[in-house]
Amino acid sequence: MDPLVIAGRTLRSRLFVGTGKFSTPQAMAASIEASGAEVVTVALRRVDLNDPHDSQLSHLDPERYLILPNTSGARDAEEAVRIARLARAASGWTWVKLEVTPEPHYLLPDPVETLKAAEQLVKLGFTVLPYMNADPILARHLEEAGCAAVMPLGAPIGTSRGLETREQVSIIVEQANVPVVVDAGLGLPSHAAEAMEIGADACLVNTALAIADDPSEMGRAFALGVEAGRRAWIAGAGGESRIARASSPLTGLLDQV
Amino acid sequence: MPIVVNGEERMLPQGSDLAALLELLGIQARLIAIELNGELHEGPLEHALEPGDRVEVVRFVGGG
Repeated sequence: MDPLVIAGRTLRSRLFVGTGKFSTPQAMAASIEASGAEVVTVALRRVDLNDPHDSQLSHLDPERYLILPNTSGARDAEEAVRIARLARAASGWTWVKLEVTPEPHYLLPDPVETLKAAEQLVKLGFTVLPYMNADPILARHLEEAGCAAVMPLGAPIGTSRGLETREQVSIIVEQANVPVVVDAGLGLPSHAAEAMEIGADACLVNTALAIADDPSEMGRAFALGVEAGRRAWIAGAGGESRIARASSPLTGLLDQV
Repeated sequence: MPIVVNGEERMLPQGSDLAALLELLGIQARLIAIELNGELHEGPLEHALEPGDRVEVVRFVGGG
């Protein structure tokens, strides 16, 4: 598969994965390994004083993966910038998945606050990948603000409903000058393949792997889905037709008996 | 002296610093970040605390 370049960094895998909701740290590590992902998202939270030992992510090697902290939990731009700065102070990592979701029921991203935060974070030297609704105009604004990629949703976070935003994502792909990473709502490898088939540059998946009966096998399945879709996009699909188009010759047929 | 850590009050010996606080709480000073009274603390952990200081200690967890 052809490599993906984001902010000068070359990535061989076009599947990004999240680390939330896995049943055990071992299941998480095995699933990520099987997925072949290089970009891995994490969240930032208060240390639990009743369980101060760092166990959740101890199976994740920061030398091996590009760790992408998210700003989940942020309800406005100010909180997102605060979380991003804490994440950078904790790790030295400068990439951030910007996420501003003020409304808990659908966790839809706030476009105004996301753009505001993106402008500030770019000025602070972050490589910003914003989670956004699949709005082509917003994608352009975020690109102009200096974001390294845009991350339109397929469906609300964790819903596994697939690429409900297909037409909008397609327009974003057509117009964007930065990579387009479809993030959220992809529940099956076929959903990821569909996003890649219409020209998305990468997909980000978490819930679908974390809640599968076998997270490792689902990691492999998504890797194949992403690769199939990417190869199909490169190959160039021939288009649809309402009426049949014969695959076999219509000449040289036998006489009817 | 009383210090508020992640929303919980803890008693520390007078003159304790952030390093002592982390040790008391059993937190390894690896891949963590600290806010002191609402400001990101980017200096050394040998920073003396004052009574009533509010400290936030955060770390990475699984997330999407």
